[in-house]
Amino acid sequence: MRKREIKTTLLYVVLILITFLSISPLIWIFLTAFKIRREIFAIPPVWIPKLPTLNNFISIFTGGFSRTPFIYNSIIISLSTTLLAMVIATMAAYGFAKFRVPRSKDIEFWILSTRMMPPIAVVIPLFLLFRNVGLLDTKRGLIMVYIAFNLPFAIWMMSIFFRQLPREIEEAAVIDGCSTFSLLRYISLPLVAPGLAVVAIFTFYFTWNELLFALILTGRVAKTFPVSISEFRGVVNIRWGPMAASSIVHIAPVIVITFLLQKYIIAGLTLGAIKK
Amino acid sequence: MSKNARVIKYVFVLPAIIYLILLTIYPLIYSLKISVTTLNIARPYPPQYIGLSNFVELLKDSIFLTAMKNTFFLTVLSICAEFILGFIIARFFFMGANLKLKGVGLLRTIYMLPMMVTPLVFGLIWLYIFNPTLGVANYLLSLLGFPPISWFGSTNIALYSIVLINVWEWTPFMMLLCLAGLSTIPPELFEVARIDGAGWHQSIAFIELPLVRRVILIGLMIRIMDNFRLFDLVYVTTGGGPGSSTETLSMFTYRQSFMFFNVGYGAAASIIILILGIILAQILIKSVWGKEEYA
Amino acid sequence: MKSKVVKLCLRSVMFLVAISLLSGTFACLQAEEINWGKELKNWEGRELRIIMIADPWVDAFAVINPEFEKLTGARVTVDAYPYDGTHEKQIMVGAGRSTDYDVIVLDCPWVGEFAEVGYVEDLTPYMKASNPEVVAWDDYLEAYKTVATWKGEITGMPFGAYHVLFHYRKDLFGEAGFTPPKTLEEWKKIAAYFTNNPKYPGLYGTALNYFRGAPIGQAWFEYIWNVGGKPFESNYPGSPDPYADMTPKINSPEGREVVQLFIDMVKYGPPGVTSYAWDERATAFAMGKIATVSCWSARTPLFVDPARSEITDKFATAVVPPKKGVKSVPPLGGWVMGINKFGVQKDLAWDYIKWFTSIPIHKKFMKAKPVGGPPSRYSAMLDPELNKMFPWYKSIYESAKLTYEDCRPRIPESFEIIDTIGLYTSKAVGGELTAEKAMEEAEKKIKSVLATGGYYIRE
Repeated sequence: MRKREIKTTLLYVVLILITFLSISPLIWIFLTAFKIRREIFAIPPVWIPKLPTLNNFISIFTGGFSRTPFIYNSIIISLSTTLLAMVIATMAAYGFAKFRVPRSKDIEFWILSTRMMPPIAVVIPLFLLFRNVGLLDTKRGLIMVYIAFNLPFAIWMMSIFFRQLPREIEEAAVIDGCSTFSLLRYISLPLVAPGLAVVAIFTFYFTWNELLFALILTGRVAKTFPVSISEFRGVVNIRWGPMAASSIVHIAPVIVITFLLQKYIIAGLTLGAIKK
Repeated sequence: MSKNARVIKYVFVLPAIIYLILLTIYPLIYSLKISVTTLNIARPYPPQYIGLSNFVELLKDSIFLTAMKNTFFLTVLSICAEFILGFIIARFFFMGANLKLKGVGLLRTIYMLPMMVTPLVFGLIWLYIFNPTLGVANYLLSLLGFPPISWFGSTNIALYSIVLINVWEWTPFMMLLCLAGLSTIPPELFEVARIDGAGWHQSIAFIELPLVRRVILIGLMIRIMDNFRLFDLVYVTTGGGPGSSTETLSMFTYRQSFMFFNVGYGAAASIIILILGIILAQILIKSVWGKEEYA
Repeated sequence: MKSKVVKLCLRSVMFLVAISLLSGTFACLQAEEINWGKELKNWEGRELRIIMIADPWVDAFAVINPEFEKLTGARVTVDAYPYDGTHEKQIMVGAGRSTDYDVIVLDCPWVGEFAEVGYVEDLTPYMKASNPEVVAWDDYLEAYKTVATWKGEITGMPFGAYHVLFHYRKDLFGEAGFTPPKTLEEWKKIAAYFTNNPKYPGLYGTALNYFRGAPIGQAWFEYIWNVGGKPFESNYPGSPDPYADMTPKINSPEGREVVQLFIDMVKYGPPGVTSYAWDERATAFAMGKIATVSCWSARTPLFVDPARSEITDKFATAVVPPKKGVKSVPPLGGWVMGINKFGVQKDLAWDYIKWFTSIPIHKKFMKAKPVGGPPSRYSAMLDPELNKMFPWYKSIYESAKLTYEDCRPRIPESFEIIDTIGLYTSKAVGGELTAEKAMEEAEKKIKSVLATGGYYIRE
């Protein structure tokens, strides 16, 4: 019994150390966000802010360097993308899972391959095309692109979920005279709700974090939060305090979602790996 | 249903297919079109058709070749480190879960937070940590009696710094996959192994690794593609420098297209990246799923 | 020693006399207050948007702009970016035919690019239609007028002219018995003296602009003149057409000497100096970590801001030292205000530009807290009040007399050329390539860029 206790304690110590090390950069930036300028520049470093301040946060929500419009843009863009991508992907996945579509294997294979496409390969033509049709620097334009880049993953995941549904349930519904749409709406969708949640989280996560497309396809009107954060970097006067505060504001929703929905996230990450 | 289904299945499937063709295939064709011209959107003169000159030029461009080499190096090194560390850490969490320790689930969730943070923000955080004058990294080194390191300023070190940040952020991903893989191994197998007197290394080599092989392959595939198009992290930390020591394929293309506005040349580079990407993706997807059973 | 002091005093007196004489000449321009009510239209309800660099004086805009907002009723928004980002966004504004911005603030090497591709307006007609006392074109130094002009078109109004000044710690120099170096060789010795000197723990000699790309690229162009070289065949002070013969002279003994200088000076810099750019160097000097720094005059005001500097009264400036036997060519840089060709409020933009660059507002720009702008007009540079506030104006004026307006090329390909030189110099500093190989490859690359642009190059 003693041996087991020692083993347990050791394991705890190791696990806590690993966890602490892993998130130490996040802790550091969290502490930095509450520091005054002098403490940010201090060497040896001030670990815990002695004069904690909210000024860094205030500066990103008010005044000349306010990031509020960009945060707002990012929220709108992420939510719209998630919603629209889910609708299109669910339909396609259901179609592939439940009907015999000619060459469906090849099409699905192609769809999955598009996920592998490096964004830099399409962003140049998209910039030129968007310029010609007036979609540059619009939320609509960016949402369109984001949907395209989320569809492959969403379709792939959703079709896995649909394929797992037992056929008997649907067959019973069809006998009862259910149309295909109401079958999807009332029978199949509720059954794959957890799967929907997984895909929705990942779509939101991708969109909320994306930088390259937003950097090139938006200007001052539709600029997203990540683009505005990337502007802290540059060779002139990095404002570390507001940079830290913006980082915290950007990662806060992600962390909250991770904690609330950890079950779904881990399922989403490992699903493709465990189940076929 | 069959009559109806013939039409209705296209109602379901076609929107996605048409959408993807419009937003991925069409741009690619457009990209091909400009890759054979001298188009520069910051110049007054009209683009000229120059055939495959851009491609020939690229394959002779020492910076492009360096970018390719760096991308390859960074991918291999990051993934090896992520996998080894991820597997070791997964075994600790696996042990914790087997012993039904309280709070292991919570620790695991906290542990994986870095990978949920966008590489952009994670890179910025490290830019501060690695800052030559006010960074905490060099301070900690000095406490241990080491001289300060020029993390992003030295050609010999900058790429390793990028790898370090990359590994720090993405080891949790490999860890989760390995953990999921380990959890699928029937406990009886471990029992049998123990009764047969197998040591821990034999258990790893003959039970764990073979059984998590599939998971490893998927993890490798996802991470290879991620690293292959790595942009955010390099963009915010080194911008590809010093020299061209951290230039990656994405960064190279970005610089050509959106710093010098040599859009034709950039498009040619992006097509080479794409071709490499497609080849890589095909090899990986097929090696994981096999052609017939990927979905 | 004594005679030196006397000489210095004498020189100062002469300078003050010169100032009062010259400022008398330009005083007439300032004599009558400008009646802004007559000069500016009512722009009630409009929003004017400016895109520019986030250099130290960017906050001064927020201090001054309310006056314009009160005069015209327009709201002024400033979006500021890092150096590369500014160029990138500005080209994208033009390439995307965007109406997002009305005023585009250009660095002088970009003037040719924006003028030729037609992303900014020619300001000549606007100037002709305006009150000459407000525009006061003759109050600008000749060099600033030149950098703002491209093939006879005025691309932007100068408002932030920069010179590279040599900054040094006068307290430390006094202790060690140094005078400001007259040559690069002397500077090296001084830098060596202060580096790792047990008397000055934590102090280093200097820091060059090592960050790859535009920072080190433009620094290469700062030194090429001061080692007696030139970047292109007919690109030299006094050349009738600086871009007539663009045969690169980059892989020349002088070009390689500049690279060698960068390599040699690393050891006199603080750890990590090879990732320093403008801001890091200025911070290092302001925090008392380096004894000397050659940097743009736009950053000098940072050193007297007590919130950011620990050396507010411990530094002085001089003209940058050239190589022994070479005449100093203090580099010229800086920003001009142009009008977006695709903007929809060009008259509002011009009203703002002429207001902002006018003599009285320009002076307010210099005086704005916490960090004012650099002087670009005779009236400001020689203003006794400003000279008293900012003693380094004297060095600026001396540098301005020696400068060369095309010290960095101003052709459409400039950004790529400067960045390319920066890339290869950075490779040499990092030890990836030798100085010879670096300049050889840079020259090859730049030749192909110039050939695409259709320039004359001798084979």
